This record gives sequence, C-alpha cells and structure tokens, in this order.
Amino acid sequence: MRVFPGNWKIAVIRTAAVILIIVLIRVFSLQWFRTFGMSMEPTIKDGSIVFVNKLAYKFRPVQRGDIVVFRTSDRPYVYFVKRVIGLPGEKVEFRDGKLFINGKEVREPYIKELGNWNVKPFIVKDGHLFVCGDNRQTFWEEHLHPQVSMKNITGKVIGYR
Amino acid sequence: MRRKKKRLILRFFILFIFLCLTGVCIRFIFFPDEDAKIRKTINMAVSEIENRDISNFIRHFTLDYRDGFGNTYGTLYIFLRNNINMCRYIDIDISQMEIEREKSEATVKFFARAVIGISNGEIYKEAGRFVLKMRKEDFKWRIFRLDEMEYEFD
Repeated sequence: MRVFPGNWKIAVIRTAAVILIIVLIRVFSLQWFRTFGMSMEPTIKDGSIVFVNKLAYKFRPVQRGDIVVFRTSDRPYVYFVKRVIGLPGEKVEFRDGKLFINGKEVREPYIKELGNWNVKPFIVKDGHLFVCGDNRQTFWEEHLHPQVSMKNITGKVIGYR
Repeated sequence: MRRKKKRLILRFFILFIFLCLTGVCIRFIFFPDEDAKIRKTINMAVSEIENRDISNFIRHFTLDYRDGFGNTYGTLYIFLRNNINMCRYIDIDISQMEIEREKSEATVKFFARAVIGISNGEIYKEAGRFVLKMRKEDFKWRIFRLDEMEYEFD
C-alpha cells in the first residue's frame, strides 16, 4: 500500500481529511482524561486514562451504574469521574454502607468493600444526578457527593486503562 | 531595471518583517504587560516551592497575607520552614489561569494539582481550584489572599 500517492495534491487532501476527522471525533464524540485521585478505586486506578463517549446520552437516558464524566459549572473547569447512583426524583439513602433507593436495597457489584456510611434519605433534584465514587473506605464527609446538573455531564465512560 | 526594482521591493519587505518581529520581541521581553508579570510571579513562586527555596518563595507574599486555611504571613513561613525538609519532592501543576486586573490589584483564578513525596515514603495528592488576590507593592506583584473555591455543579 502506498501511503503517499504520486499526486501531492491528493496526499495533502487525504492528510487534511484525516486530521479533520480526528478533530471532529475529539470535539464532538470521544474525549479522554487522565484521572487524579483514588475515589473510583478499585474500578479506575489513580493515573488511568478514561475514554468518554460524549454522544452517549444524546440517544438514551442515563442509567444507574453508569460511570460518567462531569464538570464544574463555573470556570476554571474541573472534570470528575464518578458513578451514577441516584436518578432525578429518587430517594437515596445509605445504611451501614448499603445503598437504598426509594427504600429498597440496591446491590452494587462494583464495590469491593462496603464502608460504614450512614446517610439520611434525601431526594435527587429534578434534572440532576446523584453521583458517587466506588471507593467507600473513606468517610462520607471526605468525599464530594454532588448532585450534578444534567447539562454538566460530559459523557459516559466507555473504557479505561 | 524592472528586476532591480523588484529586488529592492523584496529587500524592503524583508527588512519590514524583520523590524516588526524585532519590535514584537522587544515589546514582550523587555516590556511585558501586567498580566504577563503576574503569570511570571506565580510561576516563579511555584518553581521556588518545588525547589524548597522558602526564603525566595515567601517574598511573593505581603506582610498582611491571609488565607482561607487560617494562615498569616508568619504562620505560613513557620509551617513551611518546619515541614519542607520532610518532603522528598514537590510537584505542582497549575492550569487554566485567569487574571482579572484593576489598576494595582488583581484576582487570579486557577486549577492546581500537587503531588508531594514525604521522606517516609508516603505520597500526598491534592487538587483544587484557588483564588489568589494580588497587589502591586514596590513595582512587584505580591499575594495578599489565597482561598480555595467551592465546586459548583448546578
């Protein structure tokens, strides 16, 4: 296979097309981040690269258990990786580290060691998601447990390494 | 004759470009604007703390310095002096620096990540958004206030 065809004009057009496609994919579809911190361990280790599909939630709604990347609403922007735990309007509660949604216990197979979180029930606001890290070994107060507006969700994590 | 004229024009054009580039270089190297001076001050402070050079680092702060962690100029200096030798290495990365300036005062927002290796082998990692308030004193930009910004997700 010839990488550079004899006609230089075609070579330039091909190269430009490839660059354009990569830029379009990067801007509209796929983005990657390097993680900093241990809040998603053991699922995503500190220093991993996560790949995010920015179009994922254009065609289907967010589901509980999805790992998402979201950002702060004001500058300077900071991006976070967490797991979706509560959907809009749901009642979330933790009892001895176990998650309860609308009063029913929810199994979390991705958690290796349950913490001892005891959190009184609260309702997830409309248009928001309650997100949480997989590392439950630290105190509840030490972590960020935000209710993130849907407009601040960057996309769904589709892979990490 | 025509060729000579063309060459002369080309020479003038090259000279013009050269003078423009020289002018731009002189403007930015010898007469940096205030924003560039602020950036330089912050970058210098970062590199000094990374090199554990406290005496130069503390010169970037005003004597009435206060921060959101309860430090003053004096307590910051004593804290650094007592703890800096415990650090094997300090690696600080600053990004998304935004400067708002009004005469001799400036507000700088940025995102910072720090990795600190302690002599007992432990590694501390911290990240956050910060607001620096700076003031021009004796022709130099100095920090008089530092606070951590809350995260907003609404």
